[in-house]
Amino acid sequence: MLRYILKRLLWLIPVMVGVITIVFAITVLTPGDPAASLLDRNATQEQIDEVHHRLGLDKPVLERWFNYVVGVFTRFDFGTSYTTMQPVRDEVLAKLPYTLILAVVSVSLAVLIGIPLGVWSALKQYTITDGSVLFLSVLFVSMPNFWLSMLLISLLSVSLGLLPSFFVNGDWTGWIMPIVVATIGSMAQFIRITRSSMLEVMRQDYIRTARAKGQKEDVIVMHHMMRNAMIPVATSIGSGLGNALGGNMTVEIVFSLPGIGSYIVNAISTRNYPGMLGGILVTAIMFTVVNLLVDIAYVIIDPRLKSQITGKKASKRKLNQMLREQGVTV
Amino acid sequence: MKKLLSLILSLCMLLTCVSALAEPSADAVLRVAVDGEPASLFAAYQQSKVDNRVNSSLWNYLVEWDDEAKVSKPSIATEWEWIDDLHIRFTIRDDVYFTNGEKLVAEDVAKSLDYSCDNHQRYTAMFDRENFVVEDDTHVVLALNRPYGNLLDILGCDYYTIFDWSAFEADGMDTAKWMRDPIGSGPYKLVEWVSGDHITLERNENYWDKDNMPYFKQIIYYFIADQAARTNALEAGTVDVAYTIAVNQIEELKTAGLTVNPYNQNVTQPLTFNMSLLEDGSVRNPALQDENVRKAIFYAIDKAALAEAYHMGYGLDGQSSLTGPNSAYYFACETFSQDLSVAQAAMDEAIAENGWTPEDLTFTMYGVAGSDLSQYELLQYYLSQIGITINIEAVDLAVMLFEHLFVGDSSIGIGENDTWDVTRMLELVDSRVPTSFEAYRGPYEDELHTLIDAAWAADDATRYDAYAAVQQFCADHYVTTVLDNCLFVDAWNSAYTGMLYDAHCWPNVWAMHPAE
Repeated sequence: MLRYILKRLLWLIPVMVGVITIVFAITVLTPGDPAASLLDRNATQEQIDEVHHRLGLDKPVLERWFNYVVGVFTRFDFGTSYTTMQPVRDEVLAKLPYTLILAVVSVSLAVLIGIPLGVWSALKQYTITDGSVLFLSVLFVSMPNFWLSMLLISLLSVSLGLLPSFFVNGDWTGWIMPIVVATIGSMAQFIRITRSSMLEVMRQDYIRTARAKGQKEDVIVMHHMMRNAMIPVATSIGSGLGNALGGNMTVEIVFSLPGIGSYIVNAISTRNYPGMLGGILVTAIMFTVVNLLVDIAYVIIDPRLKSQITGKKASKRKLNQMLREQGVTV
Repeated sequence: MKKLLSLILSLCMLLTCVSALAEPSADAVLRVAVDGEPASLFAAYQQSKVDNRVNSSLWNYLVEWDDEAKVSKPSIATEWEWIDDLHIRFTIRDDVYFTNGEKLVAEDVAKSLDYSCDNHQRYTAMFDRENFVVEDDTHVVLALNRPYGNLLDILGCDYYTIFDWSAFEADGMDTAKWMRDPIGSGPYKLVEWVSGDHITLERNENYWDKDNMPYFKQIIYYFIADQAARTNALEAGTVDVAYTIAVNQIEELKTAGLTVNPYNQNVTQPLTFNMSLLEDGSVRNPALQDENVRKAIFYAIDKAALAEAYHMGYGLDGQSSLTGPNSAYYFACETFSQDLSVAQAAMDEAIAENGWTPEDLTFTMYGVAGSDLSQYELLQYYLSQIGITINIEAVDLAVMLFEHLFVGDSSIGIGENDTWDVTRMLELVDSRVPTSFEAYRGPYEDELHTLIDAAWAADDATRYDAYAAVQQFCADHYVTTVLDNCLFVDAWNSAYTGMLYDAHCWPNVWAMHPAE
């Protein structure tokens, strides 16, 4: 297992190089020049050349790419922001906690609420309860984040004055609305996936067998149904967390939450290439780590996968033991 | 009975609280929603309007713009005199101190402006930096390369701030450090910058202008990039001032009892034509060099309707070739009211003379993706009535800038001509400026160059006429015309007043105080 984790962690290196290369290529191929964003409209060629020199844009693309990759892997250096002239690493790391908190809390809440609701809905299939849960999940999943945000702000901030309309550091109430908005979308997904997965498992032979041998219903649900139904749900949680880590840009912008999403958007609009690369790279790293955690979770949930990973060794051990028992020297 | 008494007491306490809120104390905090996070608080290295929102409270200039009188008045400089057309002597106050306790002297003025010249070469090209003379601690002579009509206006805003040069030198001229940790002499000083969240400024108790001490103990600038979110924050009472509100929210905010100020900046939106030359020396859009085609375009457009639609009733349609009413050298000339018969006649004449085909009369306009392109769509409609096809390309802002700066692919453009500085106005139409794709190229080019040169060289007394002559030429030969003026909307809690506007029409909040 440890070997498997190490192997997956090593995969991070080519993934990061790949991400850097792709984003680098995009920045090079996209029309537009960072100097144009930084300079006044009628800048002279001399001024543009000076800015290119200052930003290192006058060097060949391959040299810039190589220097960047070396900087990332040896010094964890993502370069200097074109707009603020501060190290991108510091800027991204300052924003990381906000994105992490928003993603982890909202996905955790979505899991805690969504999975039980999905299970409940499946167990009560074709009842009013099931219909209501399904209706709400369809409603929430179809509601765009920005629209829900505006609705909540209108109601809770402007009309009732209960919560601040934007995030302010040090005021925990500023977290409530962003978390609620981010939770609702993910929660609706989890409800739907859990429900359909549970319904599929409920029809399996082993469930019928468990019932036939007189197993208690709660044991059947908790032990036989849920464990098997959780495999697609785990995938969904993983991708949900991954999306939340990189895709809560709308929520961050509407609530002025200083996370990585809004940082990337701002970096793109100002052609701040190092900022853009740094933000995307950190998001990619988080996404890869989350995927690794999901894969580990699979192994825990599904013993068949464990045997696949440790299968060769286990078979060899078993064979050796059998041979020893038969008196054969190994 | 006890319950009734407690209820009455509670109500009284509540009412006292409410009335206290209506009259903020001198130690109150002003909360401001700005449209993004500043990149630099070092005004000499200012990069955008967002930077200026905060910078304007931290720094001082030689002069200050009096928005009511529309003239510059003394600030750090108590008086000034023109020695000749190229030299101006400023007398500096001797009681101005930076927030680090150091005294502001004439050398700071000369060095600060010299440093700004390094970072904003285009807009400081009129300075003859080598010949700045520091006469003593309170006198400095600034030298110019050429007479410059609105020098005083521009010295009262943007990056022409005065900073503590010796402290900057002691810091190894570390621009990046000063962008985050500036030392100014303004009414406020920086106490906290929480990245991505807010900036807190505190009143500079040693501010030199004792008659105009700021009212608020602190100003907190919250970074709220989203326009609707700023409006919501203001409506919810979470902030007291919100910069740059959407035009369609004006009525809603007024109904909510807030003060809304839609104002036309001195940034105009001129209709421009790309007559630049290709590498082989031919004109990029030959049909646009035909004066009759340009005349047809001018008369086909209903500028009033366009401004009305785009700015939802708050717009001001163009009344000039280049400038708006807020410019120091505003000159009202032919407005070209829509007249489709005149337009069609001009187009017929152009086609008869030069045989323009529909392909020749197909042009491209670049707009910023995600922004309101209704102006472009209206133009597309107006020009279709005289047989001109407009293809609208919605592109990223940086691509749009790129198209203007380096490529010049846009055939017809709606410019943003920031006419607070004479440089932009004159260079827009000057074909000798390599990056000016909108410049006029045609049979009267030399005549225009003569007028521009005369405008550059104009002294203070004749400058208005000189600039007016350039604008009249543009009207006479259909070079360019202002479609409308850029509209900006700020809004604030009606309990406060005192928003200031500088010569650039950029607002700042530092002088706000409770309304009487």
